[in-house]
Amino acid sequence: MMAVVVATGVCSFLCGLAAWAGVARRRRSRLRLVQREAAVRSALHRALDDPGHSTQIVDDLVAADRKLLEAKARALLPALRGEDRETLAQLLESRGATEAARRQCRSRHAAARAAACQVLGDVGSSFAVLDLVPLLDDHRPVVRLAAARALGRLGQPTGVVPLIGAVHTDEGERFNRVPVDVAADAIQQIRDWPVSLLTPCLSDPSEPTRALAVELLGRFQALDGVNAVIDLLESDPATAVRVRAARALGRIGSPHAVQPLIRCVRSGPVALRAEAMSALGRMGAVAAVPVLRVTLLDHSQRLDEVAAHALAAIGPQGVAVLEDIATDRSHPAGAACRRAMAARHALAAGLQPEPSPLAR
Amino acid sequence: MKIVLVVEDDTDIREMIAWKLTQAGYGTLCEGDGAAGLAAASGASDTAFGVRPDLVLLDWAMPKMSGIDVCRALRADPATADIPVILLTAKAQESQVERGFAAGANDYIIKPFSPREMLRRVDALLGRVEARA
Repeated sequence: MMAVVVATGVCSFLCGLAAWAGVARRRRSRLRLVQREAAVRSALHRALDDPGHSTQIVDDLVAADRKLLEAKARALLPALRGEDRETLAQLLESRGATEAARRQCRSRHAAARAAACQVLGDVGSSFAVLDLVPLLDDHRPVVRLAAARALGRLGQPTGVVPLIGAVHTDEGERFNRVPVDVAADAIQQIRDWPVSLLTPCLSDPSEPTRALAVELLGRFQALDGVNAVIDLLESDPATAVRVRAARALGRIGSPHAVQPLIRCVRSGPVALRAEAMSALGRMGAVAAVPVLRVTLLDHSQRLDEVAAHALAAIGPQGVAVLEDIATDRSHPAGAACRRAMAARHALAAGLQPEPSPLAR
Repeated sequence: MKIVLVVEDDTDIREMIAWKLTQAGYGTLCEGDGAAGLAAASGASDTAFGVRPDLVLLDWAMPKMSGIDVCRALRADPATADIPVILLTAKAQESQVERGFAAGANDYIIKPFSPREMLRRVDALLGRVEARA
């Protein structure tokens, strides 16, 4: 009996000791990792401050720390621009990151190809465009998206035409290789290319190509392109393109666009009417107040919420209409008016406004 | 020595900013979330040791409390209302920038950012505050 008690006690003691040793080991290894990370970070900072000796600083580290430094440099790169970004990119280049990524572009695994795009977008030189463009035709969407985003981050003007081409669909094709918004985000990051490249795209038979061109003209607030965008708003056969044209006109803010947008609010598909109202609100078009008031009072197509937010965005003249209707508690559009005014006050106070139909 | 409080949840970015500021002759305090940043700004955290920062560099998207909420709380407290705040964020839309300024930020830096430009902005903002005082 005594022996069993002693044996149980000894076992419990040994189990406790083993558990304690495990906890202590994990704590030690965590501490070592923190110390290693601090040392690697310090080396990275020194390399940034002294680009001439950055290779030497990295070479002085042990192999495992060099890998850690490269990972940290890759993680830091998207947050930086300017000289420090250049230094980091050169450092990674000198460690062979670009060469490895170029090899990885031909990997059998889609995840590896997408990761290679990411590295080339962050680190690559102008020659990386040649590696990335073929991947816009990759059979896996994840790789095509990664390649498009990488071309944007790379910022080389030679990437613009392939990106425009990547949204093109031929007759009978249902999907474009890269979504319009992804291509637009990427092209927006590229500087020093002529916006006139977009002019032929406005009459392209492919709907996504026209949508991309009009989207970019809006994002670049290209005042020169306002007449072409108005033409698309009024006559394009695709509603999706007309909707983007309305949004683009709201961004450009030309007074020539007010009447065409008002005509779209009066008659057109619901999506187009909503976007045209948002655009008029964004432009602060006082001339649109009467038509927005009519739409607000017409409850048939549930556009009162968008009309109310557009009136609130227009300013005092629009707010006067909202106040007038909001005081009548029984009015069907009263709630929309009160929400729009609350969102306007919240925005002015720097608070998060309610989700607004205008928010994009 | 001027003290800059860096509130940023990404350790690598936070440490890099702190390093750049230290190299430029500033003292730094670092925090990794909004709530801790707010405590440090009022000199109440363990890392602040009762020191009140001369400027706060604030990330927008952070755990526990967003940069916008921290900024608003700083402006609401008379003890911290006059500390200049620079928002450092990837949120680049016009409405977001407006929201940042409406919450009380004095300046706005959009990521990806140039550390050199960030230093110039810190210098300029602290210079303006000093000139006003």
